Amino acid sequence: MKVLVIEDSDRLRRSLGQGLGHAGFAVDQAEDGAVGLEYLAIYTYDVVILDLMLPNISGLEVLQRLRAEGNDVHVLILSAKDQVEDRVRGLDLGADDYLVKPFSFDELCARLQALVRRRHQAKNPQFAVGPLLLDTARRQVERDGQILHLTPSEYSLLEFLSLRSGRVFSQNQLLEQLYRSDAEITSNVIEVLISSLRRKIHRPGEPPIVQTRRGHGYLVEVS
Amino acid sequence: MRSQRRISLQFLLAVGGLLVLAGGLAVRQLDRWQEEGLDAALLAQGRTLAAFTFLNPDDEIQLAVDRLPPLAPQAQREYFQLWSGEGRVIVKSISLADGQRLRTATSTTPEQDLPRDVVPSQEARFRDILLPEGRAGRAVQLDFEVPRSGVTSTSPPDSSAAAPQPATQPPAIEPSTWPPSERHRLATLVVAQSRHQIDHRSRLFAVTLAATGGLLLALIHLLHRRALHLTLQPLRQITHQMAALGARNLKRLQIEDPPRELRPLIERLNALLDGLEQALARERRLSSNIAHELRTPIAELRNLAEVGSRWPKKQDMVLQFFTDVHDISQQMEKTVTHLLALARYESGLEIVRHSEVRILPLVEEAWRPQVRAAAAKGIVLARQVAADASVRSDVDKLQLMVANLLSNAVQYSPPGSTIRCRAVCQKGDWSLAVINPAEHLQAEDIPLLFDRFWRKDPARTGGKHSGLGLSLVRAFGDLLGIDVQARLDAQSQLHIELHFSQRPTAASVAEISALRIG
Repeated sequence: MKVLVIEDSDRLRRSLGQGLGHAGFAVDQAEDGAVGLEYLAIYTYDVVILDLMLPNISGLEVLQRLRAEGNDVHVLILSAKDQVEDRVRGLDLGADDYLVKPFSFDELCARLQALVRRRHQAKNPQFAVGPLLLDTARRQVERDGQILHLTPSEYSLLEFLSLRSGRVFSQNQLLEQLYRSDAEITSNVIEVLISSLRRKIHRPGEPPIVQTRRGHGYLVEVS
Repeated sequence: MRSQRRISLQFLLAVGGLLVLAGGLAVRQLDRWQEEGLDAALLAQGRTLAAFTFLNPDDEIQLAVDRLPPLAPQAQREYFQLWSGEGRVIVKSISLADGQRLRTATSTTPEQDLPRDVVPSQEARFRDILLPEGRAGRAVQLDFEVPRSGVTSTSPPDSSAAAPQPATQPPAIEPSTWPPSERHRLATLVVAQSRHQIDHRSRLFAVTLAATGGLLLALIHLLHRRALHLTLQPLRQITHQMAALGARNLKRLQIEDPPRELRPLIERLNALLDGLEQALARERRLSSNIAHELRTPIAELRNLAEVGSRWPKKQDMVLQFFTDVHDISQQMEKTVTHLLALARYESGLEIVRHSEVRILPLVEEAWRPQVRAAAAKGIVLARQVAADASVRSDVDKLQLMVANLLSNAVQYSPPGSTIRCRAVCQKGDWSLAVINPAEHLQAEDIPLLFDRFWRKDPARTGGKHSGLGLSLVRAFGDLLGIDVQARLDAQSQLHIELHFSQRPTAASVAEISALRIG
């Protein structure tokens, strides 16, 4: 899941980026509205965490411009403004959620997960992919009642492909979705990740859950 | 409106009371006039009867009944009775004789007698009596000396057969013969009439008066209520509009054509509402600013704590978090220190130690902490302060004031700009101004500059300034008796001026010496 944090407080932005990164999100960071809009023009995000009181271009203006351009990315407003009218205004302008500072990091993660599920019309945090049972809330995978120990990157890859089952994604697309935009990594990482993931989830004799379309990329397809 | 009903009721009671009093007096007066008329008629009647009373040759008192003028149709309701001096009834009217048509007859029925005083008097005596039928009546008693036949005090009868002609005027009883020497010549005549007519008239008048009064009272009540309603209309409008007021609705009072007496009240209330709205707006700004000023660092702290505790093995991250926590705590400590200082200065408990303060060295000291930040932005300070300029003030507090002003100027001036610090003496009073470019400010921002936590940038990016510096300057100014003013000139230069109201200890033209820092 790729998230863009637009927040002018260096410390908060940085700690959020690190925390969400460790929680399995790929996080890009923008220190003001203008930079945020540049990121949004280039990359695709699952959720945007947007502060309202930003220098130069306010958060509400960013939101207005996004919606005016037809960008339907989910937006979670994270603001110190706690008045009802502020919340109503933000939601009216097209925000999907509103969280008041100070906030719980766990709650933020849960809300981000909920927004991602909403994006894929999945209300239940648990869903099955073949013999696997994915729990997006706990970020864990079970097979035959046994928990599979996946790394955060492996889980993120599996969840990304599972939520979009049937669609093929290239290594570059997967890189872009699973890592920060400024991360200095090669597409080789995806091959390594796919390989280790398959080792953990596949059983001999069974059709593979993560399949390769040679020359195109990878997909999760379950009959 | 309860007060309107009370006023109306009180007015009604007062008017009603006055009407009852006036009506009672009128009825009483009418009664008196009627009674006087009745008394006059009774007296005339009595004197007429007395004029026809004589002593016959046998020395017996006799009333020339046959010569009496014909009785009026209502005569049956007239009563008279004549007694001799010895108390013997000579004659009584028909109405006193059990319906028998008697003119001259004695009656042995005491209850058919008219009441009389047995002690004779020269004066006619009037009294209210109860007539034999049980009705209320009015009587006059005349005691007089009866003339002998042919000799009367007015027009005596010439004989028993020839009764005296009735006088046109009732006979007067001559006091010269009083008391009469011969007892048997003394006669007592009581003439009475029913009071029914006058009582009835009085009652009718009273009832008419009461009905008219009641009607009048009802009319007055309606008119008074209407007048009161119209008079109190502006007050009702004020009450109604005031009731609708609230923190979110401070609409000014708009009363149509208010009475002159209420205009000062309405103007004063509207002025208070203006002040209240400004105060509430300031309060809201302050609350919002405080909320944001505190929420952001708290959010930072909480996030650092939660993320750090969730991945404690990420040592580089956790170490960086500790540095962040330290910075945040310093920033919050600064905010709290400033707030406490503000509270202390505003409480008036801070001790002020006045001494002679030379301005130029003070500016230099205040500038020293800003040098590094100014150098980083390429900002210079132009000192336009005479070397010998001095004022009498608290040197420490004054230095803090100037340091805050310079810090503020460095923070908000664009890179490469010049900050001017200028001391000017006018009419013996010094003023010190810190002037810096402030293109980000508008004229409407100037009144807000000294508000706590106010910042032009709503994002409040950067944690170095808490937005309390200028509030502290104003608080210091109040404490030291320095008038602090701010203005924006046509070149978007912000002037914050400290006016010292005191005699200068040194006065000279300011020198200009611009020094490039760093």
